[in-house]
Amino acid sequence: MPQGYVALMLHAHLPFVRHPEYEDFLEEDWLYEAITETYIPMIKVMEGLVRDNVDFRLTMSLTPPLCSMLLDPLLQERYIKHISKLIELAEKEIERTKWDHAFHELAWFYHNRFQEARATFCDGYGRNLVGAFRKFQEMGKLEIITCAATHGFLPLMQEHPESIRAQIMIARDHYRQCFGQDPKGIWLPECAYVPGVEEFLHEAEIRWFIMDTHGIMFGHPRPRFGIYAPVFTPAGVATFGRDVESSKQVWSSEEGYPGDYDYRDFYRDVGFDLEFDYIKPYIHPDGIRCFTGVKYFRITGKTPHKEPYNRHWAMEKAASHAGNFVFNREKQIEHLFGVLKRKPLIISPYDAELYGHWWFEGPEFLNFFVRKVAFDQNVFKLTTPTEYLRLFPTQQIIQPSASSWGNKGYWEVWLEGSNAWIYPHLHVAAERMTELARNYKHGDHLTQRALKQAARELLLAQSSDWAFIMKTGTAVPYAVKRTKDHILRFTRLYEQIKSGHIDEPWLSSIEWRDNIFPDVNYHYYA
Amino acid sequence: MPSAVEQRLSARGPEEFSAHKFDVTPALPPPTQVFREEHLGELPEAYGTGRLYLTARDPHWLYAYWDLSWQQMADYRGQSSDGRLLLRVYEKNQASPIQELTLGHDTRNWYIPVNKAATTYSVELGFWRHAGHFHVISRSREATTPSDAVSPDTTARFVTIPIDFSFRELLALIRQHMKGGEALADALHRLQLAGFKFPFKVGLDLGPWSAEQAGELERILGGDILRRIRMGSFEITEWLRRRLQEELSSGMFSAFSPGGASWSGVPQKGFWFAVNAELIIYGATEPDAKVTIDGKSINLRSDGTFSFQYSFPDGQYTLPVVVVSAAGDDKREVALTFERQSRAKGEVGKVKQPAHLKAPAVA
Repeated sequence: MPQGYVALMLHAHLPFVRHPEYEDFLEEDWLYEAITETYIPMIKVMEGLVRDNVDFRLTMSLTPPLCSMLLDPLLQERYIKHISKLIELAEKEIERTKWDHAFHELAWFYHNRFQEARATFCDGYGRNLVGAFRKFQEMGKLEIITCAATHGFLPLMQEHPESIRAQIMIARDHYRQCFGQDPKGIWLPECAYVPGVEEFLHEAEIRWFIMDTHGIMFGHPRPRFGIYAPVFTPAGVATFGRDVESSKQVWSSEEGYPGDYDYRDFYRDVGFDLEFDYIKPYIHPDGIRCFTGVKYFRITGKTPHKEPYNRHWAMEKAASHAGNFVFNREKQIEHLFGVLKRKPLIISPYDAELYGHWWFEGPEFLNFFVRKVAFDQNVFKLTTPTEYLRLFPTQQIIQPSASSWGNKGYWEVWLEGSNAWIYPHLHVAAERMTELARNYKHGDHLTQRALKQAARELLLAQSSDWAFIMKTGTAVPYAVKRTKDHILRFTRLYEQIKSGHIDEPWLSSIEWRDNIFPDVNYHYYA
Repeated sequence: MPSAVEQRLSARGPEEFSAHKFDVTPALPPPTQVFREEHLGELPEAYGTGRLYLTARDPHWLYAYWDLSWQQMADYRGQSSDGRLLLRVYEKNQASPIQELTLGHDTRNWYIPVNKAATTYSVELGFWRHAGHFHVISRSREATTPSDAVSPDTTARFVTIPIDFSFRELLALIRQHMKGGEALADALHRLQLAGFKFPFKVGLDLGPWSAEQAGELERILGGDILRRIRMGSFEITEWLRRRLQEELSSGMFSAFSPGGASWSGVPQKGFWFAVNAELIIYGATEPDAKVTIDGKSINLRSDGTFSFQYSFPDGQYTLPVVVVSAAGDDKREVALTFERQSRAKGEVGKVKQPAHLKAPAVA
């Protein structure tokens, strides 16, 4: 009998980036990189576990924008082009590194990896990775949860509760279409919670959400079992708190596993290292150097000097770190069981991109972890939050505290000098959307199209990713442009709907571009 | 990394371009993406709705912002007795404002320090018409600062809520027994405590709980909560960005310069000396001809010139350079033979080769 449980959770999210108006678009690469480096490797890990009859439980949130992109035929086609180019690059690399054994072996490694990615994508799942994850859910191994419709930052929508409601309900509708059932859990964007959000979760029949540690710990009254058990909000929706200890082991830049010197270095990419004419076909067509995913070096140390990556050493480290992670969870759970006299639950949530994209060996670490949990110990079992609630439906009632997992624990990242300017625009647009939804409950076909598109533009403007990017400074012009474009398109639609003169060709063009949520129900804004 | 081969050489003559073969061109500013404009115009500076928004950004700060144009604000200032626009900050259930802030002329927002967690505030935006009469332009909604400490209340109420009963089903079971405004979990708890019969097992007895247990749990959690170790999505991005900046500033990417900046960042102790050599084969032909060096196809520049760089470890090498005309009817060839030997006296390091170079096949 296990003394406790661990729920490992991966939050897979990318903002909706789709530019049919361009042949190539730099920011679309975020999706292709994630597919090659995170989603396909995780699918391969799960395939292996199923094949080897290893029982496991994992939880993943697949956000609506991400699912929309994975299901989009244009982006699927572009991914195939992208991975085919990488295969071509790897072939050239095999040739170029003929005399250099360390790099040559890696060039073959990447070639095999990219070919496997393409085969998995095309032949394995018919280009439909959402279907791949759904398959594992239907086997009972993976629980897929939802997220707000466009990853909007809900606490900063309090001025306009209809917006919060729409973000939740439209996500619920989209999940039904993708997975054929209702979502039981939700990952609130950035784990950002403010009292009142759970009312809308209740309406959507979503049974639980994840919070950062202090959201539960600072709740009222004090949680008896800390974060080691879920709690029920007065509305009946449960919430689970992030475990700091297990997070730190993986995420800490100083102490965490991903910084180990034998792991692959993220920055030494051939896109930046190799000679321009040679690499030009594989970087951005405008000549902007970018990451290709072909990287030859390991971290080596706190030094700019990098040694060649050795895959075998990296795999041994991953196995050893997985063993260490298992051992630490065993000790943690034994200790907690002894104190609490009930079976604790450790919630370990991470951005999915950490596994594979930022930390190349991440998926293999998870593979080793799951297998060691299954075969090398019997102190704890893996579970999902839903499964745990099914086993232990009696919990304490707590009103949790407003919180997020962003820097400093609240809203500062999304509301500061670089990005605070967006909110008056978002608020006015949200108010106008409610005005439209109330005044145009019915209408001719063209008006209905315009109303739906207005909802889409508002949703896309509300992506918290833009504010986040403005704060971190990584692709600021793009984030600013997205915010402006969506607000301006919304405003123009609003004016056209009210005046009764809808510019149909223009409407068609933006329906073609901003095509998320084809069946969006704008009535949620009423 | 842009190298000498990147520089566009005009086909003036062999002696001209050989002079450039070592030029390290400074990195051109990175090309920027060109966004095709949709002619939507610019965002308005304000919509003029007059709305005053308020949010509690964290336990100690409020953020107030309003939708007034500069013109509207100037008009209101004109109507005031002293030319000021003010924010008045109220704590809930207190009649008088706790702060009165004069707003600068060029701002549409204000960060308000309140330093009191778990408290509800609201603000008013307005001006003094004359002493004693404050005209309110707009009022905000209430905003409550989040808690920043563990609650002193250690009472605990438990409820059984089976996940396989929907909320609608549960409500239907108890609707007639609910009090006005009572939340679902509270109602279920009350009824379960009172022995109400449910179609599922209710298990409210969770065993004893002692002060020792509470203390031990606090010890386990306490340190981390106080340190507020929070590795969120922002922090990991920041950590990785910092590493990139460190690596860029060490000159790691300028691997072409003859000195080989790839070793420049390595801290050396005491006197040191490192040397290496690289080999460049360069030439020119018709732009549409095909050139191979040692059997490997070389890309020509648009003017027909080419260079190819090898790492050059100790050994003996013969590199055949072959050109075939575009039509395939003319073939020329030269075999270049090189030998390198290194004999060191004293400790001489080997400068690490830039990653993208390879050594020629040993003869």
